Amino acid sequence: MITAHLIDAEIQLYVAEPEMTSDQLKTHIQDCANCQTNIANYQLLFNGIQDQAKPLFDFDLTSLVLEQLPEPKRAFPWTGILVSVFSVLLICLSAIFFWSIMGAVIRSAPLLLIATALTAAVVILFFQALEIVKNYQKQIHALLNANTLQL
Amino acid sequence: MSNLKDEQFSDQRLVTAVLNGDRYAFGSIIKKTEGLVAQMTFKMISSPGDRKDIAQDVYLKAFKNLHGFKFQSKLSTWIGQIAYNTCLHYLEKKKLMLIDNFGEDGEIPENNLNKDVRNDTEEKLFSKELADMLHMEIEQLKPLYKTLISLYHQEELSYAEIAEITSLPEGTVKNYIFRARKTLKENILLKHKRNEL
Repeated sequence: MITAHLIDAEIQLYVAEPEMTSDQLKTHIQDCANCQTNIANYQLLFNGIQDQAKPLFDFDLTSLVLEQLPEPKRAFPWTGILVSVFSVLLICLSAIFFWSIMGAVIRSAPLLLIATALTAAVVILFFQALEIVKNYQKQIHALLNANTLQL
Repeated sequence: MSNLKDEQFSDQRLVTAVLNGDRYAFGSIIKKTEGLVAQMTFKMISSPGDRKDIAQDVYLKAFKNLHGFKFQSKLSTWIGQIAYNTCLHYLEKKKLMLIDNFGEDGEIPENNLNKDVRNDTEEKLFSKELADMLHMEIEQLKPLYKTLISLYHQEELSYAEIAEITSLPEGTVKNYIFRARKTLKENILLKHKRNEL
């Protein structure tokens, strides 16, 4: 049987982690009013700290930080640029080397054929432009929806 | 254990989303950890204006270094580390002390209260008005003690997690928390006795 009172460290340990306290000390606590009072005081102190209001920022931290985040870096479109340059080069070289043949073909071709080819080219361009506009509208719509959901 | 796994999965999902360019996922990370960062900045920094700058700085640093986060700890612990180090850097810059000048052996000077008188007083001590007194006493602790006490009792972090955040040995964390609680108890008793007289 321990007769000396528990020291402060033992009392705190008993309140925080009772399973860590030895059986001898527990027996002493059961019979000692002084130690019981000390334990009760520490229990109230623990509860008092726990019940303190948690601090909160009085500003919208999320918005402030999100505003300052750097824009994600986009990869440089090397592939697109290479394909475009190659296509332009191909067309130019074809025009230079086959100009005489192409001139002869155009001159000998019937007017109806040329008109048909031009009409087809215009129609294809029109539909491509339409597709670009639709894609743009779809992306804007998705972005607006994402903003609404996340914010 | 299951909760820890769920949390790690959730951390991983959020971090991957941010690294793939989803800025709003970073907003979710902020909302999830803001309480911990507030707790640390309020306890370590006294100037409200500086708190605002520091809180933003913490998350900008986290965003910048997120690709280096290896999931060896919880995301909140990692952000807590950044917050602690940012506050520490601020205090060093301002030449402010983080801890009290207790003796090297860690003993707190005993006040001259008679033990019997103290016990009588203790019985009546903790009333509702104690909350205010306790708040004032916590505010008077040095920044590190305030922070450790709040992380343990309010944020309910383990000693190991607090040690990870503060880069202090676990034993030191336990010792500091013990000393902080003892200081609080002694100061409250002393104040209560003075009020009675």
